[in-house]
Amino acid sequence: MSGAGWSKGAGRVVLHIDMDAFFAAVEERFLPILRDRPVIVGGGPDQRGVATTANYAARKFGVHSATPLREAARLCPDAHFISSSEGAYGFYSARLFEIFSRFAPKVEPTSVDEAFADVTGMERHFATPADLARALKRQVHEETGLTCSVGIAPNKLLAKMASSQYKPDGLFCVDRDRVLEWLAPQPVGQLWGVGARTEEALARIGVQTIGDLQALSLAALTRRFGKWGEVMHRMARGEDRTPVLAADERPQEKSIGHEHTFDRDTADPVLWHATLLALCDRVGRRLRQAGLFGRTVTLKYRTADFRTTTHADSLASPTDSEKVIFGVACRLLEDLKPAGRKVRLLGVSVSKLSATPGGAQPDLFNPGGDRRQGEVSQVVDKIRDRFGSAAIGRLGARDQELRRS
Amino acid sequence: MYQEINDPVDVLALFEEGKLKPQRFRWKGNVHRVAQVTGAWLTDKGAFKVRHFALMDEEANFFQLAYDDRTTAWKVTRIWVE
Repeated sequence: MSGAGWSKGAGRVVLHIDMDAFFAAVEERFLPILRDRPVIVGGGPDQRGVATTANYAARKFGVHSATPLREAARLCPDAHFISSSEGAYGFYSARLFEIFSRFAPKVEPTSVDEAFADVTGMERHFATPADLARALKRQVHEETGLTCSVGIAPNKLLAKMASSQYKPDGLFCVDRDRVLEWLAPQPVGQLWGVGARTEEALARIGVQTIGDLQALSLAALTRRFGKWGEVMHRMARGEDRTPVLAADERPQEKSIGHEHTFDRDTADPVLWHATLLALCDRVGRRLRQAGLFGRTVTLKYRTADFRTTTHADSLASPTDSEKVIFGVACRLLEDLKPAGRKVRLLGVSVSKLSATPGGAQPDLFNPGGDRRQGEVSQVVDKIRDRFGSAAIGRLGARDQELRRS
Repeated sequence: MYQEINDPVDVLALFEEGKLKPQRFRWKGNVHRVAQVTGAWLTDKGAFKVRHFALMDEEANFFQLAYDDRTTAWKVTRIWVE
């Protein structure tokens, strides 16, 4: 069998499955008259957010994910701007991952619309990996009406590069016997982690393509780029041993946080605090849902001139209480004193997570208060579990707008 | 563009093969016959579900409807306006 078939030895067969313009494709499914017209998902043309995605008709005008909506309107004035259909993407994403799992023993989600799948050992069911990928693509289309592009390769690095070869609705299999030749003509920017700055640095030493990179020795690359040079040396040869990790094998989250961009920049401290309260409420609930406690609280704010400041403080013992988190966040905001300046974004996150609570020092002036607060949080959680997150909220929290965002 | 609506609506629907299938609805005094359901999805509202439908009526108008399991009430949530 050729190098595009099943691996005969210890080698792996990895798929990278990438849905084509997922959010826009879901909206096109709901509204078939949009097909072939430019569609931008994320909000209205006069809103200050960014595009979540754009379909291929809109991409021809230079609109992509994360293009500011106002810029998108300028680039593509005839586009249809759509705000997301409530909850639809999460529902379709769950269906997609259920389909992927029928074809692969191990599926690693990398976002709502993208996954790696390790299909090593599936040769008893499909003659070639390409047959498996074709069956998966067909099933996805039959059950959801959506298309995806699939890359097949001996590892994640190459599979990801392969899936972008023929988008949309593409399928590309990297021949494991011709990896070096396949990589050589491609620009270095195609490699994972090689961004504009590394590209510039490489261009200064005459490296434009992966082939140019292959020609450099390990010593030359590490002398210039240190550890990163070693990584690039491996990637240029298509080497990657990163395992495909199923959702339950992935390392625990390092932090839990939420942030909010105001509709209009605001210098109103009452609005800042109300927003912080709502953000802390959501962080506390997520910590309790995950059974985690956090020790370090980080406040982030961005002013109207796009300058971002973060400030953190650590607690004596880990907590899952929004009240404690809010207390620290308010103190941090007070320390930073953005008073008078207009704030564009506020965020709160909790890190140094552990599964064990700290023995919180009791409040000497309110004995039992922490316990009662914990009980209140649990009751609020139960009400939300039963009736939804909008059923109950803290008085003062700027919650309605946050929930919509 | 979509217009966000949150109007209660009367819906005639079938429960067929374990699925809820809207057939007709009366909104603002007009009766719309469902020609095609273009999408259906669920969202959680606590322990209950909200069933969403994207559909086209026989006059090729596009709507999104939602049925709340807890309140057993239907709403028009969005309409498409060219």
